[in-house]
Amino acid sequence: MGRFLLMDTWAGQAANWTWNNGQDVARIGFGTFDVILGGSMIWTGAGTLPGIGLIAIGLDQIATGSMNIRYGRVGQGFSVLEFGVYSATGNESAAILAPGVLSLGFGSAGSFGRLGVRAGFTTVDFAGTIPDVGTRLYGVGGQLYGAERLGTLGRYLARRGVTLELGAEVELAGYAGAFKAHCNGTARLLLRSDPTTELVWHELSHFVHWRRIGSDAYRRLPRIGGNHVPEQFVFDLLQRPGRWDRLSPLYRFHMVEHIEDLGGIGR
Amino acid sequence: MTEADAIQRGNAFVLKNRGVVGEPEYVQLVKRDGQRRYWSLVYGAALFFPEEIAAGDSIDGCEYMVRVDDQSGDVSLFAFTG
Repeated sequence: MGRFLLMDTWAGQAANWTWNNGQDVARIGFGTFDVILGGSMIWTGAGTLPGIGLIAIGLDQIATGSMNIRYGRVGQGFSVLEFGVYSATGNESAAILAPGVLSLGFGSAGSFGRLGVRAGFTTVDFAGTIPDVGTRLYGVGGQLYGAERLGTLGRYLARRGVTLELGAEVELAGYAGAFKAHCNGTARLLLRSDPTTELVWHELSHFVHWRRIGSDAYRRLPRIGGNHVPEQFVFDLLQRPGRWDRLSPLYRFHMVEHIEDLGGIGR
Repeated sequence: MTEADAIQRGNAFVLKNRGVVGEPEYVQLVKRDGQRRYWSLVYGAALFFPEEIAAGDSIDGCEYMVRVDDQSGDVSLFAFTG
């Protein structure tokens, strides 16, 4: 999703890795600079407290950049510091502002400038006790896909004969998403109005399958319990390395239970 | 609880919540480590969107998956995103 791909050569792979991870490499670099600067401030007596603050922020940036690279995130997600504040307070705004406030407090304008990276990031709360089915689906966690990317996705799908419909909660009777393939060769990808990345990827996997084998073959696939080909395809696609790790842990757990209860191929 | 008991409870649950009379198309007894044993009942999309299915369309993501606790008989909906 949005990750840059080059030809499968050594140089291509190196360029591909740099493109995908450059932001986090820079983050680690800034973090290292903060740590060195903070240490220097303490060592020279320029300011112990600001020095400690800079080191803390620097370590936070190093840890965050490393985790983003490790888990294949592209410059998004809570930093370690933000996540700690979020876990402690349950307040997303406080978490997002925390690095900036700390940076200002310790006189590090550089770190404050990185707040912009977080501005478009939104998390989804776990709400397991909410009775409404569509809302309770958020219990599997994840990140909101975002309006801008949904717009891009809608245009992409439209060029391929698929209509993206948001806010389909009513038609789906509470379900969060569905993929409908019509006998005239078109299809509709239905999503609730504020879908998570996990949900979008799930429905897009149906689209990939539909496009790969064609509408007629797709509509004839077995969809009975114990031999549910489309859902097994989605599970296999999402379970691939590099994608599975990017799903929320609860969603992964949910996916396993879903395919087992539904009965994929050979289960 | 027998399979027939579980289906009876599941059908009543579907009727109450979706207003549809129908039978599950897939039933199995599920036992996972650390979890209570339950009957998994899957009601196909054709039960809820009969006209579209009859017209030749396919619908993925609208199965109705119900769980019936094997001991207590409690019925719940296994909701899923798509």
